[in-house]
Amino acid sequence: MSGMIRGLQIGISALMAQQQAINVTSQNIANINTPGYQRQRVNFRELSGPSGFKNPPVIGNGVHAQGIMRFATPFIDEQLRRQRGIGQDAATMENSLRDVESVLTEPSGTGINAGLDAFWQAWQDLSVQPVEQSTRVTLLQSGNQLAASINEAHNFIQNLHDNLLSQVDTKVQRINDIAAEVADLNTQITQANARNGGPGGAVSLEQQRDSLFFELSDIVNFRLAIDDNGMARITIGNNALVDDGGARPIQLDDNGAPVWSANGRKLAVSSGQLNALLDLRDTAIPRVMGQLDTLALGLRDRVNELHRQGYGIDGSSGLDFFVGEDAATFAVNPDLLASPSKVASGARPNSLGDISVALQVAGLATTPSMDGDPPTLSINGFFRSSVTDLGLRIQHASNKHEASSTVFNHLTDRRQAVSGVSMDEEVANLLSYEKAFQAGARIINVVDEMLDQVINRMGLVGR
Amino acid sequence: MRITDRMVINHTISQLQQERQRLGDAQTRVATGRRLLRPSDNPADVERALTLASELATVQNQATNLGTTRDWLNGTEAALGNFNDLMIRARNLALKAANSTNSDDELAAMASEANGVLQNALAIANTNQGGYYLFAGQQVRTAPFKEESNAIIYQGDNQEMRHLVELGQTMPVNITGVAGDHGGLLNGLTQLKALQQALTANDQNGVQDFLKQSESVNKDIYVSLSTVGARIQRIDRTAARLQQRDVDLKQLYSNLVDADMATTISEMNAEQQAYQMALAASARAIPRSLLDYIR
Repeated sequence: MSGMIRGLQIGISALMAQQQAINVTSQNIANINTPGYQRQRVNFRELSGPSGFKNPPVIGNGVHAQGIMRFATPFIDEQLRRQRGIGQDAATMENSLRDVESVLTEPSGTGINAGLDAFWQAWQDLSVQPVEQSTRVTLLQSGNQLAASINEAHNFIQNLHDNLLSQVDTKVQRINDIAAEVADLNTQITQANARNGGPGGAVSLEQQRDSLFFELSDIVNFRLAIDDNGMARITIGNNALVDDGGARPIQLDDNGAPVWSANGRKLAVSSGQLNALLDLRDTAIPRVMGQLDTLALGLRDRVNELHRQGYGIDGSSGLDFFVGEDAATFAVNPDLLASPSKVASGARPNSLGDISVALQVAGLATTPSMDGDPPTLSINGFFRSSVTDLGLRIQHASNKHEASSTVFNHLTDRRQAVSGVSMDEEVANLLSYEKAFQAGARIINVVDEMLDQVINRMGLVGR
Repeated sequence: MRITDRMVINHTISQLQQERQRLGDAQTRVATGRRLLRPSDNPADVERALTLASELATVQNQATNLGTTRDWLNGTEAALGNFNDLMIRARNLALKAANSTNSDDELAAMASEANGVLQNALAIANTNQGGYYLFAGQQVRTAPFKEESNAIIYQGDNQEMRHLVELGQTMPVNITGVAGDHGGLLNGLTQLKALQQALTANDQNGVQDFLKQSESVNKDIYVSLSTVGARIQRIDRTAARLQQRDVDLKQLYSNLVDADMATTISEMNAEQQAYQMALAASARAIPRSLLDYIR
């Protein structure tokens, strides 16, 4: 009899175990499109009976759904995180620099290069017709245009730069938020695992935590260590972001550098969006703005140098053509705008036909006057080299991004291969578990009949 | 390798995206007709394109300005020619006064005619073209010659007016009022004045002086005319060269920046086809699963 009761138990264990398996399979199917989801599987274990008996030999006690296993991929995940950091770093750099490029669009008929050309030509025209007001007015207008396009480029890029300040802020904030969430999940997971008596107690929470790790890897580089209790420790550089004591916050110091709030040491950022944003904010974009400033000051100094020594047709001398301290304030001297006759075209007073100053200024288009001592680049040449510099940087970032995407896609495939949900596979499993469930029910029926036979129909001789 | 549904969809999406991107780029190239849109498309080519653009703008501007210079030279040439003619007329007048006996009336008429020549010559020497006095040196706003009771005053200077001929090279374009070994136009006007006074006073010595010295004026004018002629030739040669350079630069620039329409359009068509095929393939690839086949 105890054998038959055991049979019932075996049947029941089959029902429960297969039901558990069906639930897990349903979970997999339901989450087929959840980003980052890794499929789960029930571990069946044969339940053994009491040992040592020989006659009759003792069979087992059925099946037990031991635990839910997740097809985790820690090594692939680590590589994925690294690639995400590299890719996001390059992408952020590329996108931002492309924004800068949009205001320095060349070649075009309306950019700064065309403005410079029009300016030099206006001086050439002045050399041929030094006395007419119309030539002078045109010259001053072309100077205005050139100054305006330089101002505009500066202001646009300045805006981009200011945006970066708030973007860095946002990312630092996000890092802190993620750290706090991870610390929270750490607590929950370690407790669940302790209750479970081992890992596997909180599989969905672990999945949740994993997706936080991926999000963090987009933003900044870090090292991850998960111990057997399920505690995840995150370190950036040599300092812990999340450890046993919880999340360690970071903040921006007075210079805008990210530091650890606890001891003020600088964060060792080397990858991710934060890295690119810091580089853009502190180096890459100021570099372009510096080049614009150099262009404006070069124009101002070279033209003024010649202009001050010349004479306007009203006898004025010693005047500056351009005023301003940088690309933002660069402008034509308003005194000249008010009175075009003051524009110095010649080197001799009272000599309206002398146009040597006009010719010298026109010559600045090609005369090397910038970049080094002795100078190696003309003003136009300097602008061209700045544009090329920007173009090369963008190409570099773009190539890096593309290369990283290729590796990223390959790693994603590998992860999917191990832990992705395959509909066919799950459905096939579902069928097999369902059949097993039916078989288990059938076992119970059989045992039930046997019991019925024994209990209700034995010993009824002649009844 | 184990294939999952997500993997297939990911691949499909990423391939469609790539195709779409390539198609978008090809369409932009066709719509704008340009191969280079931004510095990052090809930094080295863009730098070259900017250099070409600047040179092209300079060449075109230079060609226009050469026209102005040509006008100046033409005006100078014409004026010098006319002045020369007047000197010849004056010479004939002087010969007539010197070689035949003339009545008082005839002398008076000749004096009057001499004055007319003088005034004409004065006007020519003070030629103003487009607001600039041609023979005033650099004092282009001041009439160079002024007649006083006994002399002609030159109010210009002896400075060159230089114009840009081509990149970095200038050329003097003017003839000053005193250009020449013997004093140029000033000398001519002074002698004409002297002749007029001589005829008025019936001063045969004065007339003889004129006949002896007036040749020097012609010499100066011929030298000036040939100078101007040489300059005109140089301008013309340069203009022709600039025109050729203009054509060449436009060609180079276009090769660099513009898209070859035939190639670009066929590329775009190819991309469109590729995109459509990718779409069709995706439709087949998005998998049917076992679910479609079990009951």
